[in-house]
Amino acid sequence: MAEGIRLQGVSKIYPLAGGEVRALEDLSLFLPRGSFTVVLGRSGSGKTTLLRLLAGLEEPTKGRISLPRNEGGEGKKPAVGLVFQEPRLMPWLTVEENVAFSLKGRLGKEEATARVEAMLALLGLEDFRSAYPDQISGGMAQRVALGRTLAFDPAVVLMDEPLGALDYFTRRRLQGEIAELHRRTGKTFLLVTHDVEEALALGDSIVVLEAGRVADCLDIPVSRPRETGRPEFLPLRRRVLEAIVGGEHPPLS
Amino acid sequence: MAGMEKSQDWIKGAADDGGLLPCPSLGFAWGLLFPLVALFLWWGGSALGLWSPFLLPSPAAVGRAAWRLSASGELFRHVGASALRIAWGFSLSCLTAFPLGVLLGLRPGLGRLFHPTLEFLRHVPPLALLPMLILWFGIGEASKTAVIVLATFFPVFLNTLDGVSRCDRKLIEVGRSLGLSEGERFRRILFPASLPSVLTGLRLGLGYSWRALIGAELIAASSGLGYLIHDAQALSRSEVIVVAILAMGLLGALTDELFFRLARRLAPWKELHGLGRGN
Ligand SMILES: Nc1ncnc2c1ncn2[C@@H]1O[C@H](COP(=O)(O)OP(=O)(O)OP(=O)(O)O)[C@@H](O)[C@H]1O
Ligand SMILES: [Mg+2]
Repeated sequence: MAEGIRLQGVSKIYPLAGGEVRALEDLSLFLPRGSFTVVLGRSGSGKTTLLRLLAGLEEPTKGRISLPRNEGGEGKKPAVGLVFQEPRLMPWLTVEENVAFSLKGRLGKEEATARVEAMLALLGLEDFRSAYPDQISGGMAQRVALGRTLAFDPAVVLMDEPLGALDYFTRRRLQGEIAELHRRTGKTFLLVTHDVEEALALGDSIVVLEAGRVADCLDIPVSRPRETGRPEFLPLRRRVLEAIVGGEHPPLS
Repeated sequence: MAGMEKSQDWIKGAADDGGLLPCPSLGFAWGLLFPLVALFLWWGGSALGLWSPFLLPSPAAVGRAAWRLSASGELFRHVGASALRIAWGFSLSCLTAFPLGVLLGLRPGLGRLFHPTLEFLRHVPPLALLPMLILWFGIGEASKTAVIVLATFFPVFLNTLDGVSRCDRKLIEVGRSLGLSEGERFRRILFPASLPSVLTGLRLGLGYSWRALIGAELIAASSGLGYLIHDAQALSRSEVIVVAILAMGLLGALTDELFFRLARRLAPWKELHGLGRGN
């Protein structure tokens, strides 16, 4: 059996106000090791729920999830790192301390410092190392959150709409940085978004989620960085939109 | 690090602009303006004989009394006695109020068990309990300690409870996703997140402890600043009373300042939110 993350018949049902919400229904997926998968779906389609299950923050109501075992033997280090939809930085820690947050007590001081330095350099945060979270911009905060997760070197990196709250230009730049990070680290990436262009720009494969079910799954055999305006993306874009809105793309005017 | 300095300035500016009234920033010395004016008026009034020295002794008489009480060591003995009581009572109170606040903050369900009792106690002024406390604990130190415990318990408890229960659960979840144990999540997330609130409670509690203690010492004690006042009253030595009052105010302000500095060191990020000074 190939290495990677496997979900088999996974369902998640939340109780809600006397009734229940079927956030995910009978989901089966395989994410090969080292791949970059994008989960695309509308608001409420179950994207965050999927990541929370993978990160072990929730248990599936039904089905099985198998994750790669923790390599590197760093004690209780989890194999999966999650970057939340909001940065969720500790307001009492500086940028540097936030990045180092997961290393404390796990790595020796020197090794931890080296790791944090590398992370700050990688994410271009060196000039802001001693700033507190409310002194930095949203895009920077999101990068710090990414750095905090990458710092403990998880085998799998889950990102929940990490760029959702950012302006177009910053988003474009960080998309490029994320693609570059994936290339350099060779980790398994799973990124959640509701932005079709972002999905087309980043994913080796796109999983389209609609009302808790996989509506479509397509591979994008194009190397990154990509120019999604090129003609070969036209059929891919059409197919993705088809899966989400049944082809009825609402016209703007 | 030029970039950093700039953003620090920016924060300071933001904090100023956030105020409702534009406020010129005055140096520390300006704070002495009113005390000096008061001292001057006091001195002038006394010198002109506007009131009887029996009602308000002159600054010189107060100064002489302060000198005499200091030289004989009496003042320091009383200050020491009061301070020691506060140290005991306040520590004891923190040792119970803090854990209870954390416990109830984490397990709101337990609130039903404690809430009626605490609500009852909260509304009884500690001094009203003093006669009973003297009956139970005797006239010695224990009854005074008990008064301080009762006076400081609630600010510490309620602020800890508030801090813990308002700690963002999403931050704790970050700890869970990073594989932190429950103990680590407490120590590294919950505790620092509620620290500003806890420090506010401690600071308030420290203020309350002085008030309650002086009250208790006025009623039943053989040492302490409250006793000094009580004794001076019996002997009609109003200048000693003024000395004791000045000592109390100065000591209170001093401990608060020390505490404020400690809090600022322990929770520097609070400064950034413009919540520095003031109560
Ligand atoms: N803790 C919860 N309790 C009850 N219902 C929940 C809970 N978490 C999620 N849900 C429900 O599950 C469904 C999927 O939610 P989820 O957060 O996974 O959506 P999403 O795709 O991440 O949406 P968005 O793009 O807006 O973040 C929603 O209908 C939501 O109301
Ligand atoms: Mg979501």
